[in-house]
Amino acid sequence: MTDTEIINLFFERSEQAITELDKKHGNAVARVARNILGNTQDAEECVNDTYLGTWNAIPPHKPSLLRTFVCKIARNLATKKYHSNTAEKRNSQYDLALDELEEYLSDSDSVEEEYEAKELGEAINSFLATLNRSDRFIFMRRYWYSDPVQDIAKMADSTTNSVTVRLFRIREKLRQYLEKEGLLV
Amino acid sequence: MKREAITMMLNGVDDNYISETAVFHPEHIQETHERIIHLKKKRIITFALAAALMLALGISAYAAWNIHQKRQSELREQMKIEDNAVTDYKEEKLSDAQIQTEGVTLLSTVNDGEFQKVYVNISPVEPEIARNFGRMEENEDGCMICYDFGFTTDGESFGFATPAILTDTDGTITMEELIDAAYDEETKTFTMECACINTMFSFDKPFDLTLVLFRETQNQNDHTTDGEIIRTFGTVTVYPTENTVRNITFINPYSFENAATGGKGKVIGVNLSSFNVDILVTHDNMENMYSTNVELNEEEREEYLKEQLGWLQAMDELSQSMVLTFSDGSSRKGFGILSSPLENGILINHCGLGNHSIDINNVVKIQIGDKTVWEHQ
Repeated sequence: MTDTEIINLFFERSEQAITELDKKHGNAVARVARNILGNTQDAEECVNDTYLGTWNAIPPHKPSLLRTFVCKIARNLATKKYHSNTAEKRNSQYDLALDELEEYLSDSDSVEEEYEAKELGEAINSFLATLNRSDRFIFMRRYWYSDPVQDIAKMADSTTNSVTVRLFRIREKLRQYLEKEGLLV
Repeated sequence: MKREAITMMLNGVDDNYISETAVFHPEHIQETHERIIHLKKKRIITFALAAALMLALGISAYAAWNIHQKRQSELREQMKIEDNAVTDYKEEKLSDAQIQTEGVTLLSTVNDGEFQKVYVNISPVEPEIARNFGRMEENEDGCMICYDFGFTTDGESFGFATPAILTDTDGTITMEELIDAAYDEETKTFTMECACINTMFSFDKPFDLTLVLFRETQNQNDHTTDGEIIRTFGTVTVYPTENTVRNITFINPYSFENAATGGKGKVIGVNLSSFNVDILVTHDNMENMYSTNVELNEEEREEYLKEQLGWLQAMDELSQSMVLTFSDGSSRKGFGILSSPLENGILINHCGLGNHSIDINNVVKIQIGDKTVWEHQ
C-alpha cells in the first residue's frame, strides 16, 4: 500500500490505517524507539504511543513524507521518556551518542547556558548544509537515529573504524562551527 | 553545552535531512563546500569576435560558445591559476567543433594530488532537473528518488559529477547558490566537476569520459539502491595532467604527543602542490595502527580505538595550526586532513586546499602554531 493510501485511511478514520502504517514503517519506528530507550518494553510502549500520536495528528496534518513524520513523533516521545527515566536506566545507544557529543561540545566557561530552540535548530541545519551527503548520513544516523556505529558501517558499506574516524572529524567540525556561531564559549 | 541543549538542537533538524538520511546515498567522499572564493570581475570576451560569431553561427551556437568561454574564465579566476602560476592546470582550447549546443564540452583538467579533476559543460539539462540536484523525494511506493549526474571511463563503474564551484562567497555555500552559479538557464548548460580516482584511468594515456544522468531509487526497507541511466550526454577524451610537488624536509622535525597514550610523534616535512598539502608524519606504534592484518578482541579494540583517536586528534590539531607564509607576506592556514595513507613507513596526511590554489614556489616559511619549523634561507 502506498503512503498516500495509508494517509487516506487515516482521513477516513479507518483503524486499518494503523495496521498498514505498522506493516510499512513499523520497523523504522521501532528502531528509533529502541535505539533511544535501549529497552524493548519501553520501546514497544513508545511505538504504540507513536501510532496514537499519528492517529491524533492525521487529520488535520497531511504529511508529504510519512516515514519522516512518524519517526519524528517516535523520536520526540522516546526522548521525553528517556529524560523522565532514572539515571540508572540510561544505557541506550542514545546515551552513548549524547555522551560523544557532550564531550565535544562542553563549554570551557562555566556560565549557565541559555539557548533558544529556534537558534539551535537554525545552527544545526546550517551546519548540516556544510557537510557532504555521505558525512551527513553518518552524522544523522548516529545522532538523530541513534544507530550503533557497527550498523552505520554496515549500511554505508564501510568499516567500524572508518565510521568512528569520520564521526570524530565531524564532531570536531561541529564544535568549531558552534564556536564560530557563538553558541559555544 | 549540556545534554538537554544538544537534544533541543537535534530536535530542530529539518525534515529534509531526516528523510534524506533514511537510507544510504552512495556518494564518493568529497570535500565540503566551505571555500572562500575571490572572483575578479573580469571578462575576456572580445566583442568584435562575439559579434562575428553571432553572425556566423546564429544566436544559440553563440550562446553555447559564450557559456564555455565564460566558464573557463570563471574556473581560472576562481582557482587563481594565473596569480599562482599553476602549471598543472590545463585549459582546453575551444575549437569550432566544440561550439555546440548539446552534449559534453571539455573545459579544463587539473590534478590535485588525490584526484584528476575534469571540468565539463553538459547540455541540455532542463531547469527542473538542475534545480532539484541532490534533492530526494519519496515516491508512491515509499522509495526515495533522486536524480544524479554520473561519469564513467569504462561504462561499468561510475563516479558522481557535482556542480563546479563558481561562486564568490565569504563562507559556506548553499546548494542553491552552487546551482545558481553553475547552471545557465538560457543554454540549459550545467558546469560539472568530475573527480576521477586513479583506478579509473592510466596516467600514461588519454581516456574517454562519458557523462550521464541517472535516476536512483532507494528502497528504505532493505537499504538497496537501483540506478537507471536515463540519458547519456556524450563523451570527451581527457589527457591526464601532472601533479608537481615541492618536497620540504624539516631539519628539526616538529614533535607532538598523543594526549590519550603519551605516545610520541614527529612531523618530518611537507609535500606542497598547487591544490594540496601533505603533512608527513611518523609516530609510535604506527605500523600496528595502520596495518590491516591486526586481529583484535573487544578489549584490545577499545584500546586501539582510543590510541588511534588520540593520534587523529593530535594530527588534526597540528594541521589546523599549520601556517604557510608566502614571499609577499600573505599566508594560508588551518588545513583539514582528508585522508591519511601509510606509504613506505611515512603517514601522509593529505590536506586538500579546495579550489583555491597556492604558489608552491613562493612558500618561504612554515609554522606549526607559534613555532617556525622551516624557513627559506
